Amino acid sequence: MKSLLKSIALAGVVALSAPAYSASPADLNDLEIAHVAYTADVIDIRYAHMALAISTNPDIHEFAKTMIRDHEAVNEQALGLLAKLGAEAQDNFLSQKLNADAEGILNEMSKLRGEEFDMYYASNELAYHGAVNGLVGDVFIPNIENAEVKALFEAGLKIFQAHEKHADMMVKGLK
Amino acid sequence: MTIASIIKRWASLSVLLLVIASLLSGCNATGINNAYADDSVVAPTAHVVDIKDFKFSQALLNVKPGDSITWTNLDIAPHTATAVDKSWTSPELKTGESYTMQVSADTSTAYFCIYHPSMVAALEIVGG
Ligand SMILES: [Cu+2]
Repeated sequence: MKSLLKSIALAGVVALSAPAYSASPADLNDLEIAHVAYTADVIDIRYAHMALAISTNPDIHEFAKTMIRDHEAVNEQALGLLAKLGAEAQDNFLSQKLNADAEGILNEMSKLRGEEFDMYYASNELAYHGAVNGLVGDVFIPNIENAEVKALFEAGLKIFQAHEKHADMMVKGLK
Repeated sequence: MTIASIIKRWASLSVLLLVIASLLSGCNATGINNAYADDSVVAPTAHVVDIKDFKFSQALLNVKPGDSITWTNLDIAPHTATAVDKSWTSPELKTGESYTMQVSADTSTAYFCIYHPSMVAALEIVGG
């Protein structure tokens, strides 16, 4: 399942990188990678806010609050590190793709209510963290040049892996 | 063990030693001093548990009533140490923050992180 999600995510990324862009995620520089990670964090925070607004399930609320708390903590560290390095994250094709995909998912999710919403949210969290973790672990971390940025991504990956496990527990609990 | 029973036990031990001491060498303060010195075997221990990489550094920690436990969060993500039955909890611990709790005989032993339920650990209350 995990590797399936990962290959779907990577397939999407590969398809994207074909004609119009010569870019692939492996070609991103540290500042572009930082932008992708920041974007991915913000997207998950947006999903969580929608869950808090729509869901009435206390477990979903707990989970969503954890997503907001943790992703905000990571972004705070990331911004602190960028400030320390005197650098600014750089927008890129992959950040834009993630944002475009997220708009579609938020739009779908906003139409659902009750258990249908909860299941969609939890399944999306599982798939989303799986895809992002694949990207971070397999593509970003090996390519990051700055040691401090790499260390932050390694810490971030541990957090998102815990989220993936937590999402998996939630999906199983909802079935 | 309750505090009252600890005091009672200490008191009777002191009296006993005092009686022995007075029998051996006449009544003076030495017996009382010795009684306190002998109590060092149950001196409280300050335990330290780090929270790192979404794990409590000791999955099972042996403690006794009167000990303290200090949890320190070394992760970026905030965590808590919270009894499974919710009878006790740390506040939210951000990076570098600590929380210290005193152990009593009836402290609930199974605990977890309320934010990340897969993070579980336990105390084992022994002796006292
Ligand atoms: Cu936690």
